[in-house]
Amino acid sequence: MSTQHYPNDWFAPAPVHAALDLPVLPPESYWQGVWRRLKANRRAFGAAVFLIFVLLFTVFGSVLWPVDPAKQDPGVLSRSFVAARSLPVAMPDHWQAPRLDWAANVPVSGLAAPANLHAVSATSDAVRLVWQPVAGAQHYRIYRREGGGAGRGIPLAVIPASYLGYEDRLDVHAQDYHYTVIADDGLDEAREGAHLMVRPIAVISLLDAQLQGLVPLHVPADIDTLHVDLPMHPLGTDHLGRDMLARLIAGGQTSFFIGFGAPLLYIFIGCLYGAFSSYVGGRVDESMMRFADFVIALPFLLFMILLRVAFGIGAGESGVMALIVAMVLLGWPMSARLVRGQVLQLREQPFVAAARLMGAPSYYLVWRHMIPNVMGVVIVSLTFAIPGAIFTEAFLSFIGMGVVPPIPSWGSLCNDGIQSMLTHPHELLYPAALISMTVLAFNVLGDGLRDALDVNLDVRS
Amino acid sequence: MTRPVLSVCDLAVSFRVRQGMVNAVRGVSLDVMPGETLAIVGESGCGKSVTLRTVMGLLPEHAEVLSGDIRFEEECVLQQTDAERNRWRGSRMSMIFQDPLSAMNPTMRIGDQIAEPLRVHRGLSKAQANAKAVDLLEHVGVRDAALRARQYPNAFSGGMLQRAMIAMALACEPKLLVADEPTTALDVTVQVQVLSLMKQLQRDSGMAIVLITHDLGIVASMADRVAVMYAGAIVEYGSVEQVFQRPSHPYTRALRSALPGMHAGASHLPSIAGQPPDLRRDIQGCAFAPRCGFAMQACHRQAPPVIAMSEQHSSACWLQDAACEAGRQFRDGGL
Amino acid sequence: MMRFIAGRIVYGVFTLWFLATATFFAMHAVPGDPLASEKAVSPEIRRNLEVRYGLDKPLMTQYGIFLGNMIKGDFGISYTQKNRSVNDIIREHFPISAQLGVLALLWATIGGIVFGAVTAYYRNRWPDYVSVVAVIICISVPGFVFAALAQLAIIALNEAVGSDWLPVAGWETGSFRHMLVPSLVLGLGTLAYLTRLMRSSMLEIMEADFVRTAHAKGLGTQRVFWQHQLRNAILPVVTVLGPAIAGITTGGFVVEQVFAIPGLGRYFVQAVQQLDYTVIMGTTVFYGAFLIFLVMMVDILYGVIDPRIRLAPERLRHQGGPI
Repeated sequence: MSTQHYPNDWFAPAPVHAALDLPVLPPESYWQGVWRRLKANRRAFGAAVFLIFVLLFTVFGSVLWPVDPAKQDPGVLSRSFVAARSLPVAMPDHWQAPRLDWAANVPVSGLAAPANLHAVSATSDAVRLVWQPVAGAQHYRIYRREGGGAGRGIPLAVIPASYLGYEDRLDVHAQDYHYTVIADDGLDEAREGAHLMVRPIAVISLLDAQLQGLVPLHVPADIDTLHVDLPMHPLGTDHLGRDMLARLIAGGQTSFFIGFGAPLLYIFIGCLYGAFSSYVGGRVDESMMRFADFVIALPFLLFMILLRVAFGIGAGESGVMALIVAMVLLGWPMSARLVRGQVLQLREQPFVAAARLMGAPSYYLVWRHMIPNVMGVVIVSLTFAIPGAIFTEAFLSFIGMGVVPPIPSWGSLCNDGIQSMLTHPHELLYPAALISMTVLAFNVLGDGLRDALDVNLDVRS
Repeated sequence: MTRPVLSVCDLAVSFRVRQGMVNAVRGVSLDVMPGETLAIVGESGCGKSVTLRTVMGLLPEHAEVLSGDIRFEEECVLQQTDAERNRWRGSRMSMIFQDPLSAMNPTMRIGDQIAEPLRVHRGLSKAQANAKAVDLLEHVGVRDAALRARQYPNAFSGGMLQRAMIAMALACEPKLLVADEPTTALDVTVQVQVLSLMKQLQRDSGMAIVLITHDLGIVASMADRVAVMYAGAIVEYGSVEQVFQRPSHPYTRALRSALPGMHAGASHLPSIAGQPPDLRRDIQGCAFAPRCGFAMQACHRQAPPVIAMSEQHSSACWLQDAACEAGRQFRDGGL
Repeated sequence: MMRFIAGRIVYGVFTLWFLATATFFAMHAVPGDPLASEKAVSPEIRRNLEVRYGLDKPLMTQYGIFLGNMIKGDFGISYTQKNRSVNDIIREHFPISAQLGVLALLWATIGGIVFGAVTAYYRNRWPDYVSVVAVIICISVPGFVFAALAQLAIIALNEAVGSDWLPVAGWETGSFRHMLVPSLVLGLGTLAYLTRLMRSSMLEIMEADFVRTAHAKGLGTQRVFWQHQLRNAILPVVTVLGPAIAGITTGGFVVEQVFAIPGLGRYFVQAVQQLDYTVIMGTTVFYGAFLIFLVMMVDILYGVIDPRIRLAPERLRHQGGPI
């Protein structure tokens, strides 16, 4: 057949190959493997790093940024950023608008615009306008508009024609204002008014300064110029002039306290319940699980609200404890069912049967086989329960059934922020972003942990 | 000379995985004649299922056909689109699978599932197809067929389900039935029933069967010809008598002696040392050489050619080379 | 099948009883006095009020009356809105919540199933990546934030287009444009969740043996998808419809608040804030009954779709022990 010529040793026996077995990997424990797989999952690891940062931010934030979250800075309401300022204190003085001694009560057809409208002083305490009289005027109407746009803006006042000046103290800030002063003849407005653009300088009134303890209560009357230093607000202020950064830190403390406290408690209780139920077995197990099923069937948020109402809020309470108790009352059955299911599944596993056959005592089986295997599932359920609790807190605070107002939480901050979201979006944006990113990170971490705990997904090569 | 129903020529299939390519099938050629039963045997992972999945066009997305040609009744199957394949899949060529419970749709009545190919390929109405499905179920030996047809797969036992699978596959009277380990998931007694059912149906209809299995006992009782696969290639190909009585490849011989019962009274179960090669790597020489007790220098250097011992019997082994001294002893049963 | 349905109904009735009892005792555990909000009233009027609300009777009698009235479907009279029965409030405002909720559920299920199936088909390509990221963001952002953002978006859109076709808030009976955005916002979280579920379920089904069988039978892609893949992939989606409906119901509290929609959710929140006990109890029981009923329907529906459920033997009682 074959007439080929082969090398001499072509059909010589070859040495038997030894390298047939698969390479042996270094041994590692279950949790070492979990940690290695988790580290390899870059998304989950990033989420974990982010969460550590957020936790550090809330726990140590109040040390690094020791600003009282309840303290108001009335000069700067709903600002997105406030730099540190040194403000002159506006001393109280009683300004009298110039008056006209007599007014010719003659009807004039076609009222003119007030001439020479100008501001005699313009501070964030008060803007004082004066103008020249208009013949035939019965009243002057004063309007103010903020910033750009068109029109006259909000009506500030209608004053009798005997006054030739007006003091505007309505929520004045150091920003551009467009004033319009227009005469009327008792019935109709004049066609033309006088316009003036004013940019008041920032000051703080003596009363505010005293209320905030920036100046002593008894200021010598002869001091003309007094300056006070006001703190900066890097993330701005809310509608009451409270520092947003301090409130976010304090709110985070509340949210995390609830977010960690409630799930830890109810998962612990649920584990005990589930373990006990599966340990006893029989009818007791059945009725215990039926009860758990009933509690699960209760609509969760509806009953959170109900329980929250039932516990009420006593004087000086924050409502945090009521929230946690309500969450524990409604949250435990899920983990009880989870643990029971896991235990029942594990009992059927061949490795448990094998260990039992070899005479392993119960405590050994529980310690060596049950706890490590149930542990993983419990930890994963915990990482999903925490964002759930933060969400629940936010939801309840949003509808006003959560943490009571002076105490901030991220949810109640959102609730506050949503009122003014059209004009001052930062008040909603920061807490909403913190909630969202934290919950996102927990979800990603939970996904990663679930994969990391699954030995079967391991590809080690 | 009759033409083969199916002929596969030099087929190579690879899977893209994270670490590169797994060369699952490396140059397989085989013919299936009308009415015959060809068995393909080999360890799991040797590429026997992949070969037939390629024929059926059932490869997963990450698989790639590198080369080869598949002809089924003169149609070039590899060049066909799915729509073109659907003209013969389930009608002229059908397939049954290893685990009938997972191979059946759990949310569809058995009868409807059997009726489906009839409706699609034969254009029967729902009522006609369902009536035919009941007949088919009866034909494969399911009692109370009319009632059974209205049940869901979870009400069936494994053997019953495999009968239903067979009924479904045979609904359109195919020329070729591909059976991918049809009895592996079944109890031994049920295995025999299912196999004899297949045999009987083959006698009645004259269809060809390609039987994928790793059970040599099944091969002996069912097949006319055998192809032995190892690491993605056919190492020995011949009639059942030839391959079983005069195995010409050391792997076949090892397989045969690994059959329990062949060495009655042996103190230990014989096995083949080592593992199949890593198909991600290029294989130098013969893929079986590292595990082969007869390995020679040649085996490690160059892949052996396919050498025909007789008209129907061929083997890919250097021992069969005319110039090989050791081969003669091997054939004589020594070594 | 009948036994299966009967079992579910009995279970539903028991759950409802448990819910009503829990509601009743939770409300009676409230510290203080439900009439405390009344302005200083003379002891005589107070006694009359107590008689009117049945507060003079012993607790268990009150409980019995409450259960009896509940069976009759009578939830009593509001404490704060005099002369308005809880039934009236529910009758008037629930249809609005229901319209919104049904629409939201429709978006969520249809969207979830479609997006989930599509992303599964495009797995590991850009539509899949985009949707995975979008899903996790939608799951992680609270509903009220979305509601607020949606309002901002409407304002911006109206300004850009120069029309006010889409209202920023408010409600008109039967007006689709008033429902559109609130229902989308309400359904968004559920949609994201269902998309994720449907995607993983679809990925699993696409690898399933019976899908391979269907291809081997020579069925066209369409038929394989509709007959074999979709029906099985939807099963997990059906199982979570109950919680999804509950989520949309409570989500409605927030959305109705933000968009100023006079639905029952908004009145419930208002009642909670004003401690209007009869309204709180009545609405809770009503919502609970509604949800239990729907979950029951979902259970039965699931049994219809998946024969494995209704034919499965009842959960076996297991014997206890340390291991």
